[in-house]
Amino acid sequence: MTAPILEIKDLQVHFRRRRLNPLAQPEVVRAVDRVSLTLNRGQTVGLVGESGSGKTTVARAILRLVPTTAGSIELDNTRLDELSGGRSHENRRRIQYIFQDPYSSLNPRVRAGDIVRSPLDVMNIGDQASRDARVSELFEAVGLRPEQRGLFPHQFSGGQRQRINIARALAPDPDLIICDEPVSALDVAIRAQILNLLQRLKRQRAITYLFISHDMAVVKHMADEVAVMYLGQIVEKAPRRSFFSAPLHPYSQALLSAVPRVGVGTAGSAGRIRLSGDPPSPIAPPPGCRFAPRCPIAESRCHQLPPELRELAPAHSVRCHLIENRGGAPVSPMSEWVAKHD
Amino acid sequence: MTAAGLLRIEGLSVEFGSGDNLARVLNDVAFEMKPRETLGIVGESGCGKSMTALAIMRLVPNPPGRISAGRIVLGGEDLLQATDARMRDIRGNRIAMIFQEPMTSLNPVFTVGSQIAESLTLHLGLSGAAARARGVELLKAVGIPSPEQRFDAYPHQLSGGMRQRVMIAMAIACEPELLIADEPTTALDVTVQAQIFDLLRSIQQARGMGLILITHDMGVIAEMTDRVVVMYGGRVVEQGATRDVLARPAHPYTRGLVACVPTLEMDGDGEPADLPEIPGVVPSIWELQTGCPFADRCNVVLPWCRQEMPAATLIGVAHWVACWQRQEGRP
Amino acid sequence: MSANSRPAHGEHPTREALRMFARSPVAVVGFALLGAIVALALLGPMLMPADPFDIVAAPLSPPSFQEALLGTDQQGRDVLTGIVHGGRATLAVGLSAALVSVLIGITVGAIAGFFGGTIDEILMRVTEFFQVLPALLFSMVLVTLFTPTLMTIALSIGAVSWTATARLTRAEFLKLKELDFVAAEHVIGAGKGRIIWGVILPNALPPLIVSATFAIGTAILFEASLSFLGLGDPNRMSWGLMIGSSRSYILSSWWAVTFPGCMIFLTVLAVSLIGDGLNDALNPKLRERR
Repeated sequence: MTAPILEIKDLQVHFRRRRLNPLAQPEVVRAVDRVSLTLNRGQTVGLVGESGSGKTTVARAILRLVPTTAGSIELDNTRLDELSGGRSHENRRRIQYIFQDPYSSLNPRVRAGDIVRSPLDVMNIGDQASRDARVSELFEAVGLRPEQRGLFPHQFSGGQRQRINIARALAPDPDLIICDEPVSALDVAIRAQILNLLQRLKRQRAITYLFISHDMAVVKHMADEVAVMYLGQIVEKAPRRSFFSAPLHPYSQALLSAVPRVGVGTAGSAGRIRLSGDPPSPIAPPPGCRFAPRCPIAESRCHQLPPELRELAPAHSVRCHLIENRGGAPVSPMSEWVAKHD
Repeated sequence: MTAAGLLRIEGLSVEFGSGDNLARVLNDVAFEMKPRETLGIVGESGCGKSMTALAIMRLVPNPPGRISAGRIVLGGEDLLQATDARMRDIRGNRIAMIFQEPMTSLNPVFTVGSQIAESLTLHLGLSGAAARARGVELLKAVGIPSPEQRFDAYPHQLSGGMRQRVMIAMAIACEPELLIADEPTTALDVTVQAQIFDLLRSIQQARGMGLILITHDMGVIAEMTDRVVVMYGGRVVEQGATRDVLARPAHPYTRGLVACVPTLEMDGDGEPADLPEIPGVVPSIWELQTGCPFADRCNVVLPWCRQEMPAATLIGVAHWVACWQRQEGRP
Repeated sequence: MSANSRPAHGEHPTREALRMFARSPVAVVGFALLGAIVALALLGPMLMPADPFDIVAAPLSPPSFQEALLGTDQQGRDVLTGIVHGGRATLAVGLSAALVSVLIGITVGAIAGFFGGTIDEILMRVTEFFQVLPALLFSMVLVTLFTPTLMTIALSIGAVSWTATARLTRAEFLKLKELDFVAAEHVIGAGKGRIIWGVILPNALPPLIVSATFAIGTAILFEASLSFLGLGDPNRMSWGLMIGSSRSYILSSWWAVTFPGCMIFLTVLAVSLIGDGLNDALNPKLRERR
């Protein structure tokens, strides 16, 4: 294992939301509740979850776009959540972000070349000539022609706009790039182009990715490690191989089985684990396991006692009461349940 | 093909603008549907999927668009010959449609119940208590818990999945023969998507509707549809039984669409190989094109592909493809 | 390949808007009209160097080709000379009052919208306070507190009419600051000044420019109202002053009031037409139509 570059420990992000009645206690939205995550240098961690699971809030907390309530975020042993002034500038350089929406993430009144240059201008990296040269180099690296620097964002297609986004993130030569659903707003045929570009850049520049997505297949393609979030908590964390060959948490299993597959055809829906309802609100999460109200195999203790994240196999942790260790390997009761209900 | 079809579309063309600014958004689109069949339409955005649906509903925005040629025959009646009054009657009663974003399709200032009741009054002449009873029954049929209370809820009080269920309830209120679903789950989470597809499937079986499902997801096509129509650049480039098309995709665009998406079946070990890309982007509808619209992105392009559009060729049981690679000879 | 088929240097959105503006007939008419009025105000006094306060004929002479082309007022001053010389003051007050109001409005609105929270609360309460004051009465108070000069009049008009701009700016900022390209600036560590003035404000400008244009028209009318009530600068000829000083004779000697009134009407009309044209040119929804 290589050295960790980013360590998140017990991160909590709570938002206070005022109610209409000014005398009432403000509601507390527990967007992220005690999340710990380690990113190793040169690896890609896939953070998976549905909308409202808190995955984007984790990313924004790393970049300090939202204030953290508790916990720590360390980049190479420097506390990011306590920094201010010049030191935080250097760390801003080292972590960059690729946004989901290639349309709203580019300032419509600024030329593409100046957008890519803006991190260099703001962080005062290099002189004018070297910045211009760097912009040309970046345009070529992401598959755009340097002559296109003078165009405005609306003159590019969605895929090309995402390339501009990637070039801007690469500009200050970061160590870590957070990709927040970088292909979900793009057309299917364009997604492969962008995913391949991200993979190529990772190989060439030894970048670490935190790859946020709701698409299990994309995460399987991109990530070395997978963390699944549900309602502000990590419910399962494992290396890619062990996660996709034997997912343990009932929610992970349901997520994987909900993906429609080309190879299975109309039979694909037959063996599906069906979840009823929507995720409950993070304002008043259930007292026990947060997934219990939707879990097909939940027992009474699941509704009362919140489970801890337990490491049940090497580097494979699960937040579930019901996983047992049988003969040295963890076994999920879900598989038996599926067999019985088919 | 059978005479007792549900829907038959022949030579459908839709144009936008005029003169020098003329764009052919749909070009000679043709396909058929049997009753109770699920037909998938797949392609990237800007390929004419949604426009085909709007043309069937005769809702092509006019101006600047208009249906310039073709026939759309629903159960023996050519919809393009119908009067506007007749068409209003057909929409809702015989064909219904649900859209991608259920929030924008529902009026935020009225309760969902009043919006369901309104369509029941309009199409079935039900009113008051009868409309309410039928509305609650419909909400129950689409799997909304405690439908009595949800009847009086406003759209923003429901989750995205619940709103899409409401849209489905409104769509099936008049027992249409044909339901068109335009990317009905794109705005929803994957577990909720599975619920909506289960619901659509069971409603279709219970009521014997035809279903047209527009999507860009080949997995959805594989799981949900009997037949599939692949569109590119306003044209149908391949169509056939879903099984055949996915097992033996004949058009380079179909092959690209199937291959370029990462899937869970791919080998998970080691460093993943690059995904096969379809280079370039969908051409703008304003770019005048002769020949095959896919020629610029095609990896097996022939010299004459850019000169003439190939005709649809039968290559299997009701499996058609429009590609020079599968034609005998050349123009 | 949408970007590949186009020239490699894009047209700046501002230039594109100006091109749209030049194509709108309404805007061109308004622009020509305002240009003529400004030319009259700037060049006219050089062509007619006579003092507008000089008595040239019998008081309240009707328009005639012999004495005064547009007649004289109750003190025998030439109405035409007054119109030619009064344009400068009217336009200067209108422009500078609009400028003052827009500057206050944008600053208050931008700070309130960007920072939100307590700052927003306080600034919005202040804005509401100014909104509920009767504007004309308040500016009368301000003008009478100081000596009525063009400067104090412009400042007092600006000080009471900035609230609409502030609310508009705040609304634009609230909308824009949530967009990802603003978050992208935070990610690269841009300072608050750069984000407010360099990133958000340029994107908020289109509706603000339109509202500023209409503010000029309002300010000109405001100046006329103050002068009408006798609160104008008595030592500078302006259209408002002409109307104000001749208001008692409106029934017997229509010309002394009507001609300056027409000038005010034409100026405000021209400014409104330009505003409409700008609105069409800057509105992205309209611009997307081919």
